[in-house]
Amino acid sequence: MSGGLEHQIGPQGWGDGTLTEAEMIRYETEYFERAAADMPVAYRSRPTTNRVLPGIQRRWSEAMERKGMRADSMCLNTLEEITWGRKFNWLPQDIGSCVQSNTFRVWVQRAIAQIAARGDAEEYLGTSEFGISSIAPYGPQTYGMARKRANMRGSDGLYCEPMAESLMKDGVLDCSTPQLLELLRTLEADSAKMLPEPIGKPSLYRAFGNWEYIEQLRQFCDHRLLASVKITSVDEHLEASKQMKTAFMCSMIAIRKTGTHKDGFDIHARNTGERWAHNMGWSGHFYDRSGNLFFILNNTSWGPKAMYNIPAEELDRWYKAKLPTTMTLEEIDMPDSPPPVVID
Amino acid sequence: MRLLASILVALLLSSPAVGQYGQITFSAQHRSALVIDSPEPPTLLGSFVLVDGAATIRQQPVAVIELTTDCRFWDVTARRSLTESGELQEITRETGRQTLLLSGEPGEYLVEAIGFDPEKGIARFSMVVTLGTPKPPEPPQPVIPDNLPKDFDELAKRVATWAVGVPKRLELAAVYRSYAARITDDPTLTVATAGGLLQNDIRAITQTIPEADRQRVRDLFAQINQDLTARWPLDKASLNSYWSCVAAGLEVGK
Repeated sequence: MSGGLEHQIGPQGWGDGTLTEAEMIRYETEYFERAAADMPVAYRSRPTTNRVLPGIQRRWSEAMERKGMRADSMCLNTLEEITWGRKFNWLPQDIGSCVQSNTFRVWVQRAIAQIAARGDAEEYLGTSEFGISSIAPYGPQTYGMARKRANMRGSDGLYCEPMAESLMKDGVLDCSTPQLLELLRTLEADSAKMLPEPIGKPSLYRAFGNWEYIEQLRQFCDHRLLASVKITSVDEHLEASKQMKTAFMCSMIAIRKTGTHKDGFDIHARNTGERWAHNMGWSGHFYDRSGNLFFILNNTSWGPKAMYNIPAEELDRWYKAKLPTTMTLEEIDMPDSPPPVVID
Repeated sequence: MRLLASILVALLLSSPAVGQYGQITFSAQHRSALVIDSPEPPTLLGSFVLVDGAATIRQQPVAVIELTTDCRFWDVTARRSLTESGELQEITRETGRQTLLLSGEPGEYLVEAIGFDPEKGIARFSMVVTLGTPKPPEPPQPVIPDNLPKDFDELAKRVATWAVGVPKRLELAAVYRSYAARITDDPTLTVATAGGLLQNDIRAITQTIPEADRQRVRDLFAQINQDLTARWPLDKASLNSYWSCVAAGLEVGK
């Protein structure tokens, strides 16, 4: 425990531990510029409606208000709860795979925003956390494909920009892919809890991370992220969040608890005494009853209590200091719903 | 024919209640005929029938009418209604006997024979002869109210027309109304899961409908499916409107 947090500090994995913070930021920046020049349309914001279906908005607002949030907040953790009846209880990461392990959590939340809140005619990859019916894509495949784009092999870790590029260009692998299941059977890694991440079998995660198996499964990848935009200010962050776009962030920012709000939730800020070479997700924002704005930083790859409420002024300081590399998850090309025809 | 009619009229006007009657009767035997549809008439050559290359053969129900009478003059007619006649072809005719072939659209025909003999007077006989399985009468078209929603190219109005004669329309409409609401209010539903549940609920109703009416039900859903598929994809808000229109159409006339 540190910084007043109620969870252990887990494995970190921004970069491979060979570069300084400044070098890693420069790496991310140069990778972004190269990738955006190669495919500009993928890095352009796609303004999308934040119009939520009225019936869903009513339930969502009521649930947020019960937590002390203002009705016009957009807490995607709460949306997840009203959609699935609970907050998904993913397993914590056990290698330095945070760029995948925290990103897939907000990838799922973006899918929920598209399907449940906005009402798109799309389907989830599955209906639960684990096994072949996992709602999340298979993590090691994404981790490996992104690391290959970054030319990373050997030690754990990844950068955010190759991750964004892989999500957009490679797509993701559905946990129900028969060829994946066949492979996992031969590797004795097909028990339910081995999907979407083989927690407890770090050698397998690392094998994918070292590019094993990924090419034989690449052809089955689908459901690409259609765009990802680099966020550089709190205003841009809020605008994306209002459109229910989640995001993932690589930085050396460590978190501490700074206090408890009068409504009962914890308030967090950067812990300048520590440095986490880490990736975390952004799960929306909320206003307290006085109208103060908070952003929800999702670090649940370190356990379910690793969810932080970051005041807008604090996040503003991070962006102004150019500390984080933050990429949005804009539209995901989820499986299209078939027309609901009736056969008598 | 004109002579026969004049005589009959004269007789009826002159001595309508004389009490003298002839005898006329017939029987009808149901048979199935092979009909050759050909631009050129077929030619019978021994046991071969020569036809044009484009000829087709179909089977249709007919009735063989065997008439006997002691009248000197007689005539036979067949009709389905006041304006629709059946086709009667004479096969043989001799004194007091005639064989005719009745053909036409499946249905009930009133076959009437009337005879006249100067000595015996008039004779009448009639019988209903059924060819094939008659189509059930078309149900009357519903009166379409003006206040139906106009969305989706007046889908509600079209559904009302497609649903003519479909039993349990109100129950089907209730299912559509229910899922129209749920698809936008229930966050746990995707389009596919809602579609599956809707299908189950509809089948629970249609399976209680007698088989004789099921074709109308199938035709209704075939029309709706075709329209929906042509518009796909629809997001949940649009699907809410779409299913509401289907429900409104099903509720017409009930």
